[in-house]
Amino acid sequence: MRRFRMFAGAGRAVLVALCALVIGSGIPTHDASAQVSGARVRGRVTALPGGQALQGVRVQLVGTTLVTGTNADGRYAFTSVPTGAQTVRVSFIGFAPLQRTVTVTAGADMVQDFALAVAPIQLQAITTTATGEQDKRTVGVATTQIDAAKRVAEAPIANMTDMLTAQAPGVQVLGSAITGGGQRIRIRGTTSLSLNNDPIVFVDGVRVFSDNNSSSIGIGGTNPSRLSDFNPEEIESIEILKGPTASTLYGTDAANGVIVIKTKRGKAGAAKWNAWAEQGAIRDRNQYPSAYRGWSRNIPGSTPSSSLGNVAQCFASQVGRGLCAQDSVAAFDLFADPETTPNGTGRRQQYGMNVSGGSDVVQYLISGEWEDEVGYLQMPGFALDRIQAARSAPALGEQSRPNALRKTSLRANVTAQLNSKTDVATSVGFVTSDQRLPQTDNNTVGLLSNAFGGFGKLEGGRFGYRAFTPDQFFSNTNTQAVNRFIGSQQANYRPTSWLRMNGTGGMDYTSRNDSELCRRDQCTDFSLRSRTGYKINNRTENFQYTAQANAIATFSPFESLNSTTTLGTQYTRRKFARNGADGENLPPGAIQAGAGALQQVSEVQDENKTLGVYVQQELAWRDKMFLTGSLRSDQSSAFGTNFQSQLYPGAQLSWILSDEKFIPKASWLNTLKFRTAFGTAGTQPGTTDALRFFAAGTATTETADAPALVFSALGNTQLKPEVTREREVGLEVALFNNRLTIDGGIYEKSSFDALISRIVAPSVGAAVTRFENIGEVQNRGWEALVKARLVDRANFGWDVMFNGSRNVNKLIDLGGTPPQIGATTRQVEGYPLDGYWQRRITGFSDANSDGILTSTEITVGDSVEFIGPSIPINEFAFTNGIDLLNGRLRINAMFDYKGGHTLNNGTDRIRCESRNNCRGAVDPKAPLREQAAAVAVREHPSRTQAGFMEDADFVRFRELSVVYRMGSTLAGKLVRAKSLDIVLSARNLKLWSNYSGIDPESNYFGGARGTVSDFQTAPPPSYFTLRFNLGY
Amino acid sequence: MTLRALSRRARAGLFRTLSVGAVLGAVGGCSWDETIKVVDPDVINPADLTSPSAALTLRNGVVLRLAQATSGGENVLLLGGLLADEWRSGDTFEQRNTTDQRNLIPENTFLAGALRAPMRVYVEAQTAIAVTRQFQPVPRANVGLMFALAGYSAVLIGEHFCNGIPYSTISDGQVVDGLPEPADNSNIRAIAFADSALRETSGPVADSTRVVFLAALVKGRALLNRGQFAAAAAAVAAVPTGFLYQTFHSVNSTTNTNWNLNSNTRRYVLSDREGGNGLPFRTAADPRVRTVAGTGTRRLAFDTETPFFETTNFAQFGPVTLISGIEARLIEAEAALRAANPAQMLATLNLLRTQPVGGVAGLAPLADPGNENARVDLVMRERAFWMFGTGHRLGDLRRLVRQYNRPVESVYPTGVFHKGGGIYGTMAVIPVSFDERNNPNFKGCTDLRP
Repeated sequence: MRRFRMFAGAGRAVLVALCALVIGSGIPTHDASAQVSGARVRGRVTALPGGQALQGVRVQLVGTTLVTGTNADGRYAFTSVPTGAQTVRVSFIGFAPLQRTVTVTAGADMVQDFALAVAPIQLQAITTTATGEQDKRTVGVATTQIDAAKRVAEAPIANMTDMLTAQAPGVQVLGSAITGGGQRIRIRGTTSLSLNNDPIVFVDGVRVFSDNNSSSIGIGGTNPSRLSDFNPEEIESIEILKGPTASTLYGTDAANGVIVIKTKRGKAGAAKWNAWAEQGAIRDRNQYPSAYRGWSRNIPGSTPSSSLGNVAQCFASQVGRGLCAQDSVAAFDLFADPETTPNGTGRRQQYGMNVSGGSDVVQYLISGEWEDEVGYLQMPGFALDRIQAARSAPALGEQSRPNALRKTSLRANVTAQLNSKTDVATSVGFVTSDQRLPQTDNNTVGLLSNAFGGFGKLEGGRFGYRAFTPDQFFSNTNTQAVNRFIGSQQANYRPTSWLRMNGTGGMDYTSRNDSELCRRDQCTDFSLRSRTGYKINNRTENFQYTAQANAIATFSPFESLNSTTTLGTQYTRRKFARNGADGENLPPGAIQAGAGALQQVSEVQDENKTLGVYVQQELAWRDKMFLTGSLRSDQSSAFGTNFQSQLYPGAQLSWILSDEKFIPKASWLNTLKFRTAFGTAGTQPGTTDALRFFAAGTATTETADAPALVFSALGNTQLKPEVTREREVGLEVALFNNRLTIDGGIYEKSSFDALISRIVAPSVGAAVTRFENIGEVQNRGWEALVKARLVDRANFGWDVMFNGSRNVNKLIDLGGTPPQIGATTRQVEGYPLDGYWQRRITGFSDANSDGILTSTEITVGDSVEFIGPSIPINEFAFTNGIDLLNGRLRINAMFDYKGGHTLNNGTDRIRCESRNNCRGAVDPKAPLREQAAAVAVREHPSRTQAGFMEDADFVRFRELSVVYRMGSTLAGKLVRAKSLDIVLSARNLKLWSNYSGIDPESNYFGGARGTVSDFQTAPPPSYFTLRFNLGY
Repeated sequence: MTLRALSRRARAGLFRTLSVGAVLGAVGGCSWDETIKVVDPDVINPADLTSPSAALTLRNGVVLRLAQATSGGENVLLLGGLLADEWRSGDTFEQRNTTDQRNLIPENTFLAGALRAPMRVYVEAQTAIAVTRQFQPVPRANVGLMFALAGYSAVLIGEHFCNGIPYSTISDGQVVDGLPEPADNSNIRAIAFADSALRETSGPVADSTRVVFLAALVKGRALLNRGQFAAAAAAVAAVPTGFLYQTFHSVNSTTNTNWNLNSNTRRYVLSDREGGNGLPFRTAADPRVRTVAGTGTRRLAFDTETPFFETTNFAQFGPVTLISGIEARLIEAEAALRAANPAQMLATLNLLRTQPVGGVAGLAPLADPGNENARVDLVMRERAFWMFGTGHRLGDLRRLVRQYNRPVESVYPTGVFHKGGGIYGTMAVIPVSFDERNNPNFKGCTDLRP
């Protein structure tokens, strides 16, 4: 009952809109030249050569709302077709689109067949927007579609990060190096200074959670993402709407782009079974830095030995200043020693099956998959021995392998054509997962802070680790269990040839159980809490409801002009509720929060509702020039009480120049399209950012704990969403019989009234920050996607794909507030967000030629200056595909470049500054550049970290796959299948970079902008997988 | 072109479009406030604060803020002791290392919170006063306590931060940016608040006397900072030596940060003769600063470099004494010294040392060191040991420079820094954070003089 009430508001909005529209638009009209008079157009779509029927081809009656798909026999049919000249257009992936004009008379039964020519490289034909599927030629914005099903079948795709990485120009994906870690996605740069910069995600029409850092318990930096819950095997296609030009009708929250995911659906015909099995290995093949130690000879009071207790080591610069002498310099790389390394071999396995089929009326797809990945981290042998000795029992599996993900996903999709005017589609997906993440990253009691910070020696009881050893920190178990249901119901109703209505309703329910367990006497001795044990258990429920409806009406005021008017409304409601329990000082053996001697509870809840109405008007001139205007109005519970609604206007033009007479017809030119667009979209503030409020706390008095109220937030009654405006211009070209396609353009995106989390002066004695609409952030750049089929012979085919982009980010206006200063990054007007700022090392010289730099031999600039942007400016991906053996063998290789940015090698910085074990600080024979960086941060009054800020350009051999497709005969003999593909693939094979850190993609990221840190972070591992795809 | 000139088909289509537009207008023009209305249970609206219970919980909020500002989070007491000679950094955080090394800069990210926390006490105490006066006017000592705590926070701010501290306010939800003021203005504010507190003392005896003594000590301390020694002594004369004002901690509120950063996580190390001028807090083996050396895996501090020493003066959930009657006697002793009565000074100091007070008993009586400078040193040493870790030491070092004309480098740690090979810097006060530049009236410390 409660759920029905939840929908009441939205339902009212939708119903009012649709009913009014139907009433308004349904008034009988008498259109002499386009009457609906029972005429029928039907036909069959086949492939050239061979005449094989093509199923699932999109067939559209241009200028009307009529769209259908072909059945298993390749047949389609339109009833109630308007009389007059009608254009039928067909499009299908892998084939060149085609259109024919037929003259329809009243009551006629017209037949129009199509034979489509293979065009493996082609411009995208269909795009999905807020109003539904649209012919791409009518769209004036850049979108990119990823053929998810094909990528999963042929490439090493373990998760959504792999699926999206380097697939779309302007879409930058940075994945995690840890199994189960999330991903940071930036589309056309970082737009917002203080709000979330992640795109929003829709699955089968409903908005879903895709939050990064989706955990209430941190491990030091890396966190899960809810986007990772999605099973790539279930996805048919992914459409990326890159910015406000494309996402205007998605309104508030869509400024960072929209990812539209369509799951697989069944096709009419006998049941088709597909099964797949995958096994893989995960290896960390990176080179780690050694820890150095300079053993001293004559520091007063120090012990001249290499014992662990000799804390007074002799640094290189001290040797240079004559303050001490070194006995020797030791170096130890614990990652290279089998006895001490925490890096082993991870394992990945995945098994799944789906069945699809149905009749012309009802189609279904049911799928299920089980996936298990155990990361490469392991407890080294010495740590296992310690545990055995201390507990008289071996380490628990969750402790010896602290990083793992196990996931089961189920899906059932049904599509039904209830009658010639109505079809409905139901999508139901469920995923359950259990994940455990290790303590690592920026974490005192984590793996990498201890592994990078060691003493430069194996001996001494810590096996090269700094303060704590793997038997301690891996015994802290951090888990997340997720149960998630996403369901949607979509309906299309076409009462007349000129009116179509569609509606979508659905929900995403995610139950998350975050847990951290440190058993008594098993973890580090960092604090009393870790010594006596603790358990945190936070249970979260997330609800996301979506209700959306569109009414689309078409008419032709003139012979050469088609009009399409769309009226729609969208309602979203998000609710978050979490109960937490914390128990500390556990008895031995206890693993529940309630067993703790010290117990705490917490309860958090917030909710957000957004309601939007929108209209879109498209005018199509002679089916070659398309002008579209749109406007959305949003109201949200997150807006300030004095701010009512936000309008989002947009306009776009698509012009098929190649259809114009003034463009010379050439056999090599297939399509030339010009597009330009302007659009706006928003990013909304947090649920309570507008409110001035007090928060509850507990005060301890001399007699008891007592309830307390503290002033918590200043609020802002004028608060409104951050509005981002974008404009773009581009060309789409298809050449040489569609064997070469180019899709490219330029854009400029600016967030006006940008919400700045303005720092409140400490003297106010209030909250730390307050959101105000005072800033502006700009992104400018270009994108290009080039696909070419260079050789197309039976025994040898070669295709290439290049996607490239450049994005220059700049903070234009901070609204009169001073720069926001972090330890190494700053927000300064005129410079990119999160740029690195330090006092620059202007020079160094070994003046006395002793090979050792001291602080007097380096010069540092007088003031802090901009060092470089922290986010890659340029990104290029180059993919080669080679077909051999009549297409039975395909080899794919993808190389990925990112560059133009700087990265702060925070790992080396802390090793030099306070871990005292970097080569530059310890070894007199270290290169002078390393010594300069170390001396500057350790001894120069500036303490500048500039020496660790480096160009981070890199090229990575990202993907390699070899696919062998067995013929049906052989597949039948071997496994009684109709088809069998064997796929050998690898990910992250090789890196080329001058960056001196381990890997420029070592990272964790956090905060609204997803600021990247290479600070005691893991580099990406390599994946090697063997996969079998079977068809029955 | 007129409407009539359009074809029938065009007119029909236009009609449809207009219908769509009309519907859009109708839908868009509707008020959807109810549809998007939400109730957030996590927040408490100002409109709910209209009852005696609200007044009580707001006052409790000030108590919580006070704990956060002094012992429930990293605070000016700790940072002041780190900059002075009470603590040394055993940490890897640059923010703490540079504070310890007297290389503090306004961009140090720990500074904003250190100022914001006592400012919250100052601001929220005034809110609590207004609500208490309206909804729970008696006993008046409740209001008096809030005045006294506001005054205490002003003293802390003035003793620790540079000259140029703004005091901003909030009026009708809008920030009113304060103007930079000399640090001494904080003392003037404190005295005014203490006087206000002393006018609001009626109520149960325990509450009343607490306000009286607390306000007296705030006023005496502020007067001492202003160099009005006799007035300071007079202000605290009625405060019994055994009086304590403490913050309390529990698992539900706050953990004692002094314990956490020293005993628990070993980021702060008990100091000893730091930078040559520092006092021997560790090696003096004085029971007022109970000392334990780290052993085993706790032999080194968090940075695995600095030898670790802790004081057991603090416990995880134990109370922290912010103000006590001992301070009253110490103020009187110093006033006696300034009144050229060293015998009275010595008698007062020895009275404290020889009677059981503050959990300490049986200290050997002191002898007159024989000259003025040494007597000043003696008073300051006694203050340092009696009030270790309570936010007095930096203020006293500043007073040594300001009131006793000692060179900065003769009272603050100097020379070779204890780790990393560098030398001590020159900072003698805590600068106001760079974040304060969000107040357009603030352009930085007006000066860094003690």
